Amino acid sequence: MKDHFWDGVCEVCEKRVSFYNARQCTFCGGKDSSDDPIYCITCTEYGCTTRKNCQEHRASCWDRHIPSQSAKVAAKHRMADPLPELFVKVITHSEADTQKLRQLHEQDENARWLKIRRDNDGRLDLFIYDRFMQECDRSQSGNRKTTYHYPSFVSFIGDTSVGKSTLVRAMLVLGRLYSLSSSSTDQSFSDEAAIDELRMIKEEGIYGPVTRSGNIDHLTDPTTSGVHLYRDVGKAMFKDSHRASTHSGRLTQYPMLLVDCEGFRAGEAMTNAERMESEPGVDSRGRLLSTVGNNRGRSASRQKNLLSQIPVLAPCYGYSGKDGVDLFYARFLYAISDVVVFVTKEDQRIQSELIRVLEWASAAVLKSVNHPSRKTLIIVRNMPSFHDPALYKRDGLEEIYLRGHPNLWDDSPILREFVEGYNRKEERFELRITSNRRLYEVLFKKIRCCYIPRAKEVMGQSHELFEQYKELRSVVELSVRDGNELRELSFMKYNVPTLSHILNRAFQHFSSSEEPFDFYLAARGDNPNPRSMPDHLANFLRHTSEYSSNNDSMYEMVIDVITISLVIYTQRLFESGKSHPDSIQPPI
Amino acid sequence: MTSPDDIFDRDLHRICDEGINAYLSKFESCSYKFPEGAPCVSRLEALHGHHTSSGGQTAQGPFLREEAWTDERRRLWISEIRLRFSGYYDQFFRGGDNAHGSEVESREHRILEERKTVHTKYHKDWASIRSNKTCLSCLQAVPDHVLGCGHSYCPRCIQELGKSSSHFECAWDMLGCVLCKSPEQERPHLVKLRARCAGVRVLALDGGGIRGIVELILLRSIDDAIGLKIPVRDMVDLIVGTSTGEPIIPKLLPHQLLH
Repeated sequence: MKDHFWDGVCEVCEKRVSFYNARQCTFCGGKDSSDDPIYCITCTEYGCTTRKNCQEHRASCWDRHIPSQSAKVAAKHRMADPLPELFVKVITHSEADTQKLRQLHEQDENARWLKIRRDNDGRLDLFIYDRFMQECDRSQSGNRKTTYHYPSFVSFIGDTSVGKSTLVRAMLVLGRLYSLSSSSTDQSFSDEAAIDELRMIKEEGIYGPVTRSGNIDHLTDPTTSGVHLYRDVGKAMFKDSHRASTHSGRLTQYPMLLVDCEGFRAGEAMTNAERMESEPGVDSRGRLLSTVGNNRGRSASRQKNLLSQIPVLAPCYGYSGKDGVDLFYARFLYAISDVVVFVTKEDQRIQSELIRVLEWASAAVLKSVNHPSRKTLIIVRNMPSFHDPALYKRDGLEEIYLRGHPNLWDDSPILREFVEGYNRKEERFELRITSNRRLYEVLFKKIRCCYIPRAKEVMGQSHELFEQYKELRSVVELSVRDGNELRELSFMKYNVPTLSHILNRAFQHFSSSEEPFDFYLAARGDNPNPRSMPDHLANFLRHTSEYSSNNDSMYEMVIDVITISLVIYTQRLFESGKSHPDSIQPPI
Repeated sequence: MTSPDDIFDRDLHRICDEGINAYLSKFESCSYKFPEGAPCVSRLEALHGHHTSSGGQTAQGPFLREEAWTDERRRLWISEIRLRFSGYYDQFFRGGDNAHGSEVESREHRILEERKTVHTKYHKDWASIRSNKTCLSCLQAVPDHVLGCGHSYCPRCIQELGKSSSHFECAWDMLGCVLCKSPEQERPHLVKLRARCAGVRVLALDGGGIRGIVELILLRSIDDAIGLKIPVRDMVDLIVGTSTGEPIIPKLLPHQLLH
């Protein structure tokens, strides 16, 4: 019986073994159950130097468990590959212990980027946390080579309990495995190193978002609260071999930020993250623990790393309960993301889901100016109830999900308005929106579909699930690269500090207005653009305050320079009037 | 007789007041200092949740206004400017009641000298302050002309501070920067300005395939008719060409400009 999924007891020699020196058999169990037998693969022959998987002596417990009378039967006993199995277990592990879950949520609170909460009077407040700058490289503040360090946002959105956090965690863990690669151009890694890394991730307790609780008391609760931000450490973000060879180190990598958004359509249900913030902890004897925030009501919000708290005044977000909050998250994330990953598990509802996604996209296209607004959309069919390996083929799934619908704008007033407005402006008939395909083209750079089966459906075939996660990761990376290429062609390129500033502007804009968000104005709005002498004077004061924050030392200079400039102003004024100063009468 | 204070209160007080208001509303930064001395770099009061330093430190706390901009200090600033302005006014504009001709020139000269004295007094500070949006010499216009030291000047200041060129019409030699005192090492910085009331001279070369030869002949005829041996490119400010006019442009420009 295994007491941990990394190790167990050999079925034959009954010694404690781990995945380093033992394997499960695909024929004798190997169905991912904790009771499945496990066998040593270490050769027991004295003096054998091969040690693992010795084909010469065939003296390991693994060899002994295979019946020797029939080669045909023996062939059915195959070693299960431990890496996919461990990967899937790390990804899909649900913590049932409330104490551990509380710790995980507390750790994950540091990853929170923004959150909207309603106070007791029903007013919405947007809480912004200092997450973005923590995850980005502050030293990369120069204006050159912006494309090499500008982060790409990949947002995971979808209804509650469709498995967004699990997907984000899978992408982050895969990125970490890819970072093991010694070569900077490929994504290969050795199985042993990967197993070590997975073990480390497991021992660290958390890597990426906290996923669904394994505690039966939390069965009906959503998990994530607000929007969380994670930086990918994968090495795969190269532009091309030319740049990889001419720019060394991190400059050749495009940082990828994964955004895990609170589930939509969860109503006003309290998420587990919120529950862990507000519920009193219980120790092993069942006593109440007094932790910070135990007595806080739901309307309060965590103060740690809080950057700012802005009231949400735009009426469209305030009137429709949780749907308004969902709309805010969706619009904001659409505006800033290069890749949007929409996660769903309901095949039957795909048409209405598509309409919803297209509505957000149409709003984002209309509501962001001076910024590439055509994103890549990845629809992930995540852990649905129906499984068919044929759906692994991307083309087949795209055919099912995207084609064959009636005109999607027929049932949606928002889309209908968008299509009519677009067609009015478009003079060329062939470019007008007359089909769903054309609508997709207008709103998205491209749409990709991907299928991630439930772990149960592929029990004993973890490699299938592992491959699908890798497939999704590769689609995400390619889309991010496309987004970067699109941005390189555009006029608007920002560095990290500017982007941080734009994001602050975006928070302020989206919380107070329904008007389009102009990225150009947000980036340049605070730059001085003096047009009158008071403006120039203000700009001069800005320069002096940036040069020296010691006001007393600059006092003399500022007073002197301003006074002499006023003398020059007066002199020029008199010269242009061609009159003596004393002859100018004061206005009556 | 109008007093200097009247002159100040009529217009200049408003300029100072609005300038300080614009600075406070748009550019004032938080004056919080971390224990190690690093300043808070989080901008704008409206978005201020806590302090952040460029080194990644954070601390809780609201936006801290600079002590210098309390209402009382602000009044003191403006009254100090008014006082000094009055002194200058008496010095320059009350010297002679009937300042005309050479006296006006003398006054201009004295103001110019005082201006240079004031600016060069802070030459060490100016070395670190540059702006491409404000002419720091007069604080009245957007500068167009950048000297080798990085300081830029508006056309009016170029004319006031520079020396009229003896080689080119409507051009001025800047013999050094009056702000940071950096001399133009090898030769004076020549600034050519458009003559007052002069329009922008544009030479537009049409397309039309073989008909491009017509404009070439025309240009040669103009050149011959003028007969001053001045290249056509020096008679215009901008040359644009379309289609076959485009390959003609390089022929009009000097070799070094093309490379």
